[in-house]
Formats: sequence, C-alpha cells, structure tokens
Amino acid sequence: MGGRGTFAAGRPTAYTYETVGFIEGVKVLQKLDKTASFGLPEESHSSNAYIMVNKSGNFRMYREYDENHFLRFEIGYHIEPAIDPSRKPVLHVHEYQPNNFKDRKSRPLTAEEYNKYKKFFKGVV
Amino acid sequence: MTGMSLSEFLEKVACGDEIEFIFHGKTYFYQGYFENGSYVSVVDCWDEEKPDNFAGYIYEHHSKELSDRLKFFEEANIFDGKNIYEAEKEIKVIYG
Repeated sequence: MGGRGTFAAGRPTAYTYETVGFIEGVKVLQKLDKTASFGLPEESHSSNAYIMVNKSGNFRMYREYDENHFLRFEIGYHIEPAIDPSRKPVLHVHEYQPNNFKDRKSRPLTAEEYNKYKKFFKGVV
Repeated sequence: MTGMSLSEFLEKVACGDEIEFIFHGKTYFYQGYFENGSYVSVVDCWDEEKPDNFAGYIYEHHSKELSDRLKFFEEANIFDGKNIYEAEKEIKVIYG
C-alpha cells in the first residue's frame, strides 16, 4: 500500500506495510520500517479493513475502506479532548467522504457501533 | 525528526491527519478537520507521565482556505518557543 491517492491513480507503489497478525479476521498491519511511526494506510490494497495496535499490542485504530480503496470510516482509541477533557483515552469515530480527507471531525461511537466493533478493542477500558 | 520525514509530517499537517509525537519529554497531538465552513487545525500537549485535565489547545487555527492550514502551522512557535523547522530535529513521531 502506498501513500494517499497512489492506488486510485493507478501508480504502482512500493509496499510499506506488512501483516503481523489478525484480530477477528481483520489484518493487523505494521510498517515495514521498524523505526517508523505507527500508522495505517490512507488507502487499502486487498482488504477492506485494517487494525493498528500500539507497542503494548492493544487496540489503537481500526480503518474501513470502500470498494474503490478509499478510507471511509475510522475508530481511534487515544486522548481526544474534544470528546473527553479528562485526557483519558476514548473511543471515537472519524468518517471520511470519498477521496476527501477534510471532513473528519471526531464523534463518539454510537451504541450500535460499539457492539459491532467491540470484538477488536483489546486493552480498551 | 525520527519516525517519519519532515516532508511527510508537513504533508499530514496540510491534510489534517492525526500525528502524535514527542518533543522535550512531552506528548503533542496534531489534527485537522472541517467545521462550520472553516478548516480547523489544533495541537494538544500533555505530560505523558501524568496528563492533566484538558485546559485548551496550545495551538488552534481556523481558516477559510485549505492552503492556510500548513502556512500558519509553519509559523507557530509552539515548541518551547520554536517553530516546526527549528524543533524538528528533536521530534520523535509515534503515531501518524
């Protein structure tokens, strides 16, 4: 998986992520460069969802992509003061329009979303 | 800068991506979004050992033009009085 827009533009890019495991059937990705920051690609390759864990192996981020490989939905678990000013890590959602990253203001998960995705939330308190 | 290149960091700033990084022992968190007709960029900062309650962003900028997001961030002296170019050698990116 390459950077933003490269898959959609049809430009071949070097693989920068590898699969290091699975959680409930969803690939857990890490960057090939072990000195790089933790992250997930802005576009998918062969899967429609990926998970990122932190260095303790606990849940940090889940991303879903549409049939055109564009990022559409993300759940994060980290400090988000706009949702919880106590500075405790909090589950929250970002939604994206197709190939448009500007509309991504965070919001809490709905009860339905929590029940759907809680199987991925290892280490979430 | 370690964890990613400065050019990639600045690209993420321009796009509003979340970036969590360490500078001088503190954790910084950048993100951008679109709200009420404005492009918003914010930076939060806390002590990783004992994060206190949120009392406001150390940086918050609203602009009508997307191109202003990076421009104003580049000029902000929010890293112990330094801007991103002056501070970047001491920054370690953790998530982004």
